[in-house]
Amino acid sequence: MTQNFIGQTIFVAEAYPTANTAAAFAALTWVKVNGLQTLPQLGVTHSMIDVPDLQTGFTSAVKGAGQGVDTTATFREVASDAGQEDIKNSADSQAGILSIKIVDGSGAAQAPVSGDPVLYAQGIAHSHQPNQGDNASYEGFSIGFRQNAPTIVATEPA
Amino acid sequence: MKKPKPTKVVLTNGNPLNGKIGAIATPFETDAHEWLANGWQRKTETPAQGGDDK
Repeated sequence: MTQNFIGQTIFVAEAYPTANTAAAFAALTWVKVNGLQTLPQLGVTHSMIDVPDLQTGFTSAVKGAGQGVDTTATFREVASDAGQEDIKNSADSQAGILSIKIVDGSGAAQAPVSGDPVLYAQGIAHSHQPNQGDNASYEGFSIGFRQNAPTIVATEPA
Repeated sequence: MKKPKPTKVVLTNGNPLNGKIGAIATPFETDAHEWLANGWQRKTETPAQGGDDK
């Protein structure tokens, strides 16, 4: 059955794993970012290389290079939240180094439990933008995340 | 005979290309050489408990 995303949580680490593997990601120190509203989309896009042919008049394509998608995560403001500080620091830093972990946790308060589904990705955090204020909005911010390696589908380690 | 628990080691990042200096990682001892070759350093001589002890 198709499920919704409700209950999923995001964790960040301001470092890259030594390899793009589940075991290496699991070794990082993860900090939960509270106040999550919209997860970044993970995935890749591929360019296509057009190959024209004068005789047939048909342009076919071969598969070109892939690159990670660049999407936005949004959060409501949570005062003194270590995860929010980390993700803002990363987005504001010169290199923007960030690893993310998205968990569908089955523990108390959606805490990750061994065996829960996990997605890992590494990339660049950028474009930290606090919400625009008016008399019908709330405090929060958005962060851009450009993925730099394929997503790793794994489970929460023991 | 019971299989010994895998041991984890506590490493700290010393290379800005890996991310925040001082970030902590706890890989298994068997994987530590890859991290050490990438600018991570041992934080402590005492191995942390790890693996299947939950």
